[in-house]
This record gives sequence, structure tokens and C-alpha cells, in this order.
Amino acid sequence: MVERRLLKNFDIGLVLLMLAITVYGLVVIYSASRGSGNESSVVQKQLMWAIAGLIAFSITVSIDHKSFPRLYNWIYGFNLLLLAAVLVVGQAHKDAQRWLGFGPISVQPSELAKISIIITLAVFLTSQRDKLREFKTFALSFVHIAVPMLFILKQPDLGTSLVIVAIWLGMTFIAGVKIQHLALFLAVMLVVGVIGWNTPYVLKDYQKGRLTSFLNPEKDRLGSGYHLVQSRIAIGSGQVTGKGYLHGTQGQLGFIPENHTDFIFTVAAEEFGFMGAAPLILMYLMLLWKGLLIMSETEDFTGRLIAAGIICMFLFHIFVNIGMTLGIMPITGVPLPLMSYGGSSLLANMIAMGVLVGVGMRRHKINF
Amino acid sequence: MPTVQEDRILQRGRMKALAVICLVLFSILLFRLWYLQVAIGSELLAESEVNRRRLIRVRAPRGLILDRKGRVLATSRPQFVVLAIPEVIKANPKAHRTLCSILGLTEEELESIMKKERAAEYAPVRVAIDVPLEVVAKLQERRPILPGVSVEQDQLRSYPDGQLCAHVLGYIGEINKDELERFREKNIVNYRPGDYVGKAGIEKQYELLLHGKDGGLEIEVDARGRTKRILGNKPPVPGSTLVLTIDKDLQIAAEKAMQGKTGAAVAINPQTGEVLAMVSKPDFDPNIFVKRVKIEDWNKIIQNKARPLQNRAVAGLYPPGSTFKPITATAALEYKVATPNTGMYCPGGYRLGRTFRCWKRHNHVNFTTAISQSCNVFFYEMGRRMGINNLAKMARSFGISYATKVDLPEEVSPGNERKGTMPDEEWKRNYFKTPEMQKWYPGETLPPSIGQGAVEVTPLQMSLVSAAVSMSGKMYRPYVLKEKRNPDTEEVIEKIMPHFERQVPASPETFKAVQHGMIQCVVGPGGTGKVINIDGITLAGKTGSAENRRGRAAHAWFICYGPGENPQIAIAVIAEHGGHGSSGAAPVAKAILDVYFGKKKPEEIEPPKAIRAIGD
Repeated sequence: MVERRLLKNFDIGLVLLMLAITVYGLVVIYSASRGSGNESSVVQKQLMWAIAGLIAFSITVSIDHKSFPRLYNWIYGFNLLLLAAVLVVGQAHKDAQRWLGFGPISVQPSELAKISIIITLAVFLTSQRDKLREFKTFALSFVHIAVPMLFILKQPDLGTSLVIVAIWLGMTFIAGVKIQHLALFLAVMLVVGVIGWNTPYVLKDYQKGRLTSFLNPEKDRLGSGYHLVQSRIAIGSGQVTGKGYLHGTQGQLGFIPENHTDFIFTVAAEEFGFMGAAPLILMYLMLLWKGLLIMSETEDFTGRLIAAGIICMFLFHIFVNIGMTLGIMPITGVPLPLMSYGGSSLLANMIAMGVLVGVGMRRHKINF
Repeated sequence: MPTVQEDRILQRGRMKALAVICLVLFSILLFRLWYLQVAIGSELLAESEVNRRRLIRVRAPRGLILDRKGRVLATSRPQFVVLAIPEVIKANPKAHRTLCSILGLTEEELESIMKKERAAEYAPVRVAIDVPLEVVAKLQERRPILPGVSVEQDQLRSYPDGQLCAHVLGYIGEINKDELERFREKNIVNYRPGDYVGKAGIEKQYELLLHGKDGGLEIEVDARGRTKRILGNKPPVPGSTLVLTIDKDLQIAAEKAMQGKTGAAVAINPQTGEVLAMVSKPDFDPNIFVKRVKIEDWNKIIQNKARPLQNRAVAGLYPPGSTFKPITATAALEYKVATPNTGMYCPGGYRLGRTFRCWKRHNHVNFTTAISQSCNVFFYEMGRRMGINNLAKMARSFGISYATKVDLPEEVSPGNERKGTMPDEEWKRNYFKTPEMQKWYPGETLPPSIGQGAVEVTPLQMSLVSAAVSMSGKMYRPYVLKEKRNPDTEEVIEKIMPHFERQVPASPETFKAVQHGMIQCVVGPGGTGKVINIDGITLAGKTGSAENRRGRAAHAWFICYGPGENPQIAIAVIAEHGGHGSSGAAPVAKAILDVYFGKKKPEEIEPPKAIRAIGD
């Protein structure tokens, strides 16, 4: 399957970082879910998903990305099918219909959709390589992502939709579309955003509250600002050395809602302090840095774009999630890759890592 | 169409840009993390402590108040109170409705209760007091739909005998802004909004002793406010037990005898100044102020023209009428305008410019019978002879127009030494503005000589006058607090000693003569105070019927003391518009004396019924 000579380009460091962050995540999830009574089952579940993720990782690593153009229609079509299925037969939880149930397990197709979109968009942009600087190509590439994105927006899942936009921006940017086109897009987004914001019924009040509360969380300490105020207190109170594992008062006493999912970083920072949280951020940076190296060393255009897409996905997730816990980003419900509790997200991230490492393995053009 | 070379350069540049974006964003995260954890970490640590630690104040039980024989007058009993955080309740209409229905309040009532001033935002407010157990159970059942509501045990002030001794005890109420500020100014920091403080009487006077020191229970709570564990416990220090000089038996007797009257009665020990009984009518039940006072109840008290809250014994000002005559008599002997043998003819009136009436034609009177039969003409003549300034001087040395300094806050406002009026030439000069109004006319001396005119006294002052006569001029400061005791061990911490106030400047012979007149008032022929006579005990008395401006029936007065050789008790009684002292006031004194000398039990005292009046 995997040729021996490819293994010398296998980025073992990236894999170790991935594993280290995942284990860190398991440790913090245990602490965060303590007191719920089912902390061990939560950790077990996440561990099962991690193992499943590693299997998926090994499979995707062994797939040559050069086969993706052939699979383009299948991947794109299957993705749409899954997303459509969510809207038709999906399971709802907290006002959003995001899950597909398969017996005891349920998956979130929007997590996998991000990878599908990265791969298919890379293939699409490669096929249009000669016409990348034309506006028509640029517009078509947006249509490419817009179709699955509409399904996701319908769930509704604003966070994932924004991730997809970030992926698209990053990939088209690296691919070499005109800066003016990107600028035009951002300007249009801005106008649409302002109009949408001020048009009644587009966003519900609580959604607006969540998006703006980070600007002044104290204004509504018990309402929309609650998460941010409490997260900020928790992180800061960890100080340099932290309150100790399982001894974070904010996390353990329930002041941090969603502490094992969206606010997992908060728990880590409270219990392990700056000395535990800063290295975590640095690990993420190293992970991305290795991705950036893979991207720049990959001569194959499709592979490079795939790497760019995965980097942008991670970058967006990491910055928006940790930024949110630190009170500098709005609450969008974007999980922290490899750390946050959630099987689909972990699985999808490990698949993405597999794809990335796979691209890295095949970075050199092989002449037969 | 760019060349491959151009394309490659473009991509290199853009990949570098992506790397830079990556570095910038991560730097922002790291900087922000450093800022929160290292730069302002200690502040946020403090905030997290505030989050998890709750200090529950455990209110100190208020000190007991006992009578001189250790019988309970005011106590504290455990009770349940319901607390609610207004911000949380207001944001939750369902909880608001549920709470209202359980407590039996209308939504507006609850709203107005929760509007009260508080120490801080999100501080709970007492919404119901003395809640029965079944209501507590209902609240506990519905806990999940009642966020921000809690039930706590507290101490409730209780006056087991209702209105008995109400004016002396006073009452308590929730502290208001002014009181809080006053305590803060004095650096007393033990008080918070919502606390109870004494508002009148002993409760107010000895607030700091009775209050005790609140304790605290420090607990760790989770985000929903549920207790996780106890971090610390400081038990409260209960307020001191106060033993009063009041004798509950005498108090009961006096209150029964005063039933239905408007006025006051005071009994003191002449040898010490201890107040043995103090009644003011109409009265009130201090228990109603403990719970939240209903508007109707409050209005009933406040709008009552008879002013039941006023302690007439120390705050009420009345002309003393003939009970003033012992002072005039003392002055007459002291200023040598008469001797104990001075005699006079009373034709039933006295001419000085106009005719000043006597209440009957006494014919021949002497110094003794003038007192015992209360002859106005004799004292008009005494007053005219000595002049108003001498009379006023003697009255003032008996304490007239001065605060008695009794330890009750209702007598005078702090710092004020004057209470009541004793007119003389100087007083008139200060009181009126124009020269002709300021001039003292000879005829003006006559009414004050019999305790009329501008003379105004309190019942307590008159009891002191009676005591002064009995003690040949030795005057003690009246007081109500007898002992301060440790609430746990009952050990006496402080015993209040009698305070000698002054000696009335008159000779023992003078007092002997005055005492004789007052004794004759009780036992002598034609004596107006016969009604109080008890066989085997020498009692001395003086009646009074004070004319008052309203043109209604005179105020009935009576002062007395006994036993004559070794006085133990001195009494003053006034019944507003009660008519003659002998019928309107003396029976009250009699009731007190009967109980004091063991002739009757307090429960045998009967409410007043009409008896025939003798004289004024």
C-alpha cells in the first residue's frame, strides 16, 4: 500500500503533536465532566472516537491525493447527500439539527463536510488553474462552497459556515486569485452583514447578543455576557501555575457552561495556569507550522491547496475558539480541534491530519 | 495568463503571508493569555473567590429584656424567613407568580417589598417573615422553579405580653438609610440594610447592647448557588440580657387601672430613682412592628389622634395643677413668707385685679390643710408674697423645666437639657417680643402658684417631685436599666448604680411640714386623697385637676408616696380630661400601692369604674 520510500517523508512530529494534544484533551475532559456522574463514560467515548480517528487517519494517509480528481464527483455528491439527510432525518439538539444517528452513535456531517469541501475545492481550483485570475472562476469557486454551506446554514450552524468561508478565502488566496476579487468579496460580505444585522428576523436577538457580548460582557453579566465573564475569570484566576488538576473552582463548580466542549481551553488554563496553557497554544502553533512547511514544500498544486485548506480550517477553529475563551472573539460555538469533546469533530480533525500528512508524504513529484 | 515562474513567485509570497497571519494570530492569543493570567491574574483570582465563596450572615439573637425579678418582657424566638433576589425574580415571571401564590401576596405587594433599599445588587431581600412550616415545605417542593428564592432561619423579636410595658420597651423595625448613616458615622459597622434596630424605648436606647455581633457561615457554592461545603463558621454573639427596674406586677396593676384612660402613670423608687412602673395610654402592641407592618395597621397607629406611640410619661407635657402646690409650699417656708403655722381665711376666691377662684370656700385654712384640702387662695397668697422669680427658682430646683435624664430616648432629643416650662420674669422676656408683652404683671404670679398658667410638666417630673418631698429634697436620676447580663451565663456584667442628682435647697423642717400636709391629704379630715389610704401604712398624696386650654374637662392628677417614714415608692398619675384628681387619677395610684404593699395581686386589680370626686 504505502510505498516504503514515501515513509521517509512521513511527518512523525506532526503525528506526535496531534496525539499529544488529543491526550491533553482527554485529561482535561475528565476534569471538566467531573461531577456530572458520567465522567468516565465521557472520557471513554472520546477515547473510542480517538481510536476510530487514528484508524481513519491511517486510511487517509495511505490515499494518494492524486486520486482525488477521479473521486471528485463522488466526494462532492456524497457530502451533499449527507447534509441533505441531516435536514430530512437528522436529530435535533438545542434548536439545531446537526446529527445523523447510526444506532448508538451519531455523527455530525458538517464536520466531515469541511474536509470534503477542502478536497473538492482543491480539485476544482486545480482544474481552473489557467483561469484563476478571472472573476468568473473566482465566482464559480464560491458557488462551489456555497451549495454545501447553505445546507449547513439551514441547520443552523453559523460557526461551521464561517469556517467554510475561511477555508475558501485561504485556498483561493494561496491558489492565486486576484487580491481585488478577494477584497471585493470582503466588501460585499461587509455590506450584506450590515444589512442583515439591521434587517429584522434575520438574526434572533439572542444570536446578536452572543455575537456582540464580547465587546462588553459586563453589560449583561448574567445573560449573554455570562460565559465570557466567567471564562475570563476562570482563565485569569489560574494565574501562572494554575489551581491544580481537578481543583479549578470555576470549572468544577459549574461556573463554566459547556466546559468540556466549547470551553475546554478555559478549564485547562484554570487548572494548569499559564505554564500549562501557553505550551498548549505553542503546540497548536507548531502543528500549523509543520502544516505550513508541508504546504510550501509540496510541488503539487492540488496537494498544496489541500494543505492550505486544512491549515486555514485549523487556524480558524483555534483562533476563534481560544479567542472566545479569552474574551476577544464572539461566541460562535466553534470547537477546539482535537481538544473539545465531540466524536465527529475529533474524527474529522484526525482525517484532516491524515490528509495533510499524506500530502506531505507525497510532496515530491515522482517520476516514473 | 501568468507564466509558471510568476505563478510560483506569487504563491511563495502568499504562503509567506499566510504564515505571517498565523504568527500574528497566535501572538495575539499568547499575549492575551499572558495578560489575563499573569498581568491581572490576581484580580481575577479574587473574582473567582467571590464567585464560589458566600458569606451567610448568621444574625445574632437580640438580647432578652427582663423585669427586675427576671421575668421576660421581650425575647427572641426562631422563625423562618423567605429571602429573594429581586433581579432574579423580576426576570422570571413564573417564579414571581409562584412565589406570590405560595406566600399569599399580590404581585404588586411582592413588587413593592422587593423595591426596598439594599446593600448591593443581587443581595437578597426578606420577602416574608415568620413563615409557617407548611409554607416552607411548599417552597422547598417548588425549588426548581423558584431560582433566587431561599429560606433561612432567623430570630424574631417577640413581646410575649403584647402591649404590656410597650412604651418603655419600645419597638424594633428594619434599619433605614438615616440610621445606617448615623451608625457609619460613629464607626459602627455591624449594621446592614435589612437589619432590625430599636426604634423607640429601651430597644432604641440600648440598641448597641441588645444587637449582639452577627456571626458568619462561609460556604462554597456552585454556579446555581447550591452549597458544596462549609469553609468556615463564626458563631454569632448574642446581645446582652437587659434587666430593667420595672416590676411587672406593678406594671400590670398600673396598666389595668389605666385601662380606657388617656394619660400616664409612673412609679419610682425615691431612694434610688429606679422606675418601677411606667404606663402611657393609649398604647400599642410592639409585636406588630416586628413583622412587616401592614399599611392599614401603620395608618391606624399614625393617624390615631390619641398618638398611641407617644410615651406620655416622659414626653407628654401638661399643666400640673394642684400637684404643684407642694413646691409652692416648700418655697413659702424657705423664702419665709409663711411658717408651718400660718393661717388664712378662704372666701372661695382671691382678688388681684380680677377674682381668682378657689374650688370651694374653705373658710379657715392653715399651712397643712391648705395642702391636704388643696386651697387655692392660700397658695395665691404665698405666690404673691414670694414673687414669681422665687417660686420659679424653687420649682427648677425640684427639676421642673429640666429633662430628668431618664434613659429613654423619648424624653428629649439628644443634647437637649430642657423639658417643660416654668415661667418667671426672665422666661417672659425671652418668650415675648414686644416690651408690654414682656412685662410681668402681679396677677400672672397667681396661676403658676397653683400649677396653672404656663407651667408644663411631664408625669415623670411630677413623680420626682413627689419623691423629692418624701426624701426631704434628695433627688435621684430616674433610670430603667438595672443590670446588664451575659446572655449565656446570666452573670451580671454591669449593675447600674443610683445617681444622686441634686438636693432641693430646703431645710428638713420645711419638708417635714410639707410631708405632713400631704399625709393629711390622705388621712386628714377633708383630705382629697383619701381614696388611696391603706391601713397601717403612712401614705402621702396630693390631688390635682389641671385646667387646660381646650375648655374640656380638667386633667386629673395625683401624686403620692409611701411609707412616710421610709419612702419606697413615689407615684404620679395623670388622666387626660379625667376630671378630678381624686376620682380620675388617685385610684390608679391606689391600685399600684395595693400591689406594691402586697394588699392585692396584680390580677385582682380591676379596670376603673366611676367613683365620687372629692375636691380638685
